[in-house]
Amino acid sequence: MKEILLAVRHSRWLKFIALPLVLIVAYQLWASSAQSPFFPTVGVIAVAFVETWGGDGFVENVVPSLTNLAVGYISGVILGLVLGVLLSRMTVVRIAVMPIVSFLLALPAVALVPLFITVAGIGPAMSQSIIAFAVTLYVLVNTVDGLVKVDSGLVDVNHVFRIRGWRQILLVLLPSIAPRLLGAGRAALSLSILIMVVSEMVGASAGIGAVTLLSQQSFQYSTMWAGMVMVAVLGIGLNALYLMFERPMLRRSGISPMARTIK
Amino acid sequence: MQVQNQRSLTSNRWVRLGISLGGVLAFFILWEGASRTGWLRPDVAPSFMDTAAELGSLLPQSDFQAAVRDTLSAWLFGFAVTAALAIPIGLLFGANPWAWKWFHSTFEAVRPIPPIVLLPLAILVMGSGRSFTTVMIGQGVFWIILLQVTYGSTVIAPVALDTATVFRVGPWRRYLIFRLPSAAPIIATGLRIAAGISLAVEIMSELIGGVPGVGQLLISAQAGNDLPLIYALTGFTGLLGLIVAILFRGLERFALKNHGPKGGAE
Repeated sequence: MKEILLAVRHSRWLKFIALPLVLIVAYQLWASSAQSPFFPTVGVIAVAFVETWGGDGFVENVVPSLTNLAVGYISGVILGLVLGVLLSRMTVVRIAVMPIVSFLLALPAVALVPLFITVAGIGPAMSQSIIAFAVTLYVLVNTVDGLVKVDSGLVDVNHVFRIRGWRQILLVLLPSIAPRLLGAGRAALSLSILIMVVSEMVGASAGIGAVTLLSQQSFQYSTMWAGMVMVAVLGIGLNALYLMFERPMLRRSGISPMARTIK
Repeated sequence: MQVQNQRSLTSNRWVRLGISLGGVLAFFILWEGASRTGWLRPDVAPSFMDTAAELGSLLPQSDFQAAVRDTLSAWLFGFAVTAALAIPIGLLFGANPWAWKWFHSTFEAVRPIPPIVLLPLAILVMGSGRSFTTVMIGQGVFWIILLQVTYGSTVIAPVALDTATVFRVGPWRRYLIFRLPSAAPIIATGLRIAAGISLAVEIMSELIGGVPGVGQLLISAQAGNDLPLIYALTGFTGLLGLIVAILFRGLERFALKNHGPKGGAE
C-alpha cells in the first residue's frame, strides 16, 4: 500500500489517473449493489461503449460529429483572428461594432441552436456554422482585446526597426499575445464541443449527441451511458491534445499555459 | 497598438459613446434595409421592424411572462444555492491549505465534466424540475466559484491576519470580517463568470430537458418554424444575458472599490 501511494506521489501520470480510477471503482461497487437500470455497471457500460462507437457506429456518428467540430472550430479560429486583427487596426469601426459584439458575447451560444436549425436546417452545415459563429466571436474578442492593449514599448521598437503592416502583425504582435490567444483557443474548444453536442441533441438523427439523447428516450440506458462517457472522453481528450500542442509554443516565451482570458 | 495621443478624437468618452450608439443604429438600419431590398431573404431572417414588433407583442403575453419568470427563478435558485455552498467551503479551504491539498485533485477529476454529459442521466433520475436545474447549474459553476473563493481567500494580506490574531478575533468573526471582505473582489469576478455560465446552463436545460422557460418557448418556435418568433426570443435571451452581465460587472466593480487590498477596509 505504501509503495502504491509513494508511486502515485512521484509519478505525474499516475496522479492524473489515480483519482478518476478510485471514483470509477467506487461507482462500480455502488452500481453493482444498487442494481438500478439507470446505473449499469462499468463492464456493461464498457461493452456498450465499444458496441455503440465501434465499427459502423464510428463511421456513422463519431466521424461526422468530429468533422463538424473540426470544420467549425478551425474556420472560427481563422475568421476570428482575421477579423480581430482588422478590428484592432480600425479604431472607429471597432468602437462602432463593439456594442453588438458585447451583446452577442452575452448571449448564451446554446440559445442560438433553434435559430440556426430553422435557418440552416438539420445537417452538417448547421452544426459547423453555429460552432464557427461562436468560436469566431470568442477569438475575435480576445484578439482585439490583446492587440489593443499591446505594450506601447513594443510598438515603438517596431517603429525603430521599421517593421510595419502585416510583418508587424504576424511576426511581432500576434506572437506577443500568444498566451492569451492559446488560452482563448482552449476555451473555444470546450465551447465548440458543448455546442456540437447540444445542436445534435436538439436537432439531429446522427451524431454523438443525437445517439446519446435518443437512446435515453428509448430506454437504452447503457447506450446512453456510452454516449455520456464518449462526450466526457472527447472533452478531456481534446483538451489534453490541445495542451500538448500549446506547451512547446509557449515554452519559447517562457510563459505558463494557464494564462487567463476574458470571459 | 493604436497609439492614442491626447489630441485623438476617439480618446474622448463622449465621442466614443456617440460612435457606439451610431454603430448600433447603423446596424439596425442596415438590417432593415437589407430586408426591404430583398438582399436578406425572409427565410433567413425577418426584418428588424418585424422582429422588434414580434418582441413587442410578446412582452405583454402572460405565457411569455410566465416563461421568463420560470427561467429567471430557476436560474436564480440554482445560482444562489450553488454560491451559498461554494463560498463558505471555499473560504474554509482558503484558510486550511492542507485540506485543499487533499481534496483538490478530486475536484480536478470531477470538475471538467460539463453539465451536458450529466444531462441525460439527470433527467432520468430527477425529472425536469427544480432539483434537475439546480444540479446542472451546480456542476456547471460550483467548481468555478469554489476555485475563485479559495484562491481569493489565500491572498489576504498577512498583516490583516496578524491583526486578527493580535486582537484575538474568534474564528467565525475572522471569516466574516477579515477573509470574506478581502476575498470579495476575486469572489465577485468568479460570481460574474458563474452567473453567465449558469444562465447558459439553465437555457440549455430548457432546450433539451423539457424544463419550462424561455428555452422551451424557443424549442416550440423552432418546431413551428416561426422565424420572427425565434429571432425575437433569441434576441430577448441575449438581452437577459446582457442584463445579467452588466449587473454582475457592477457588483464586481463595487467589490473592487470598497473591499479588497486596494480599497475600503484596509
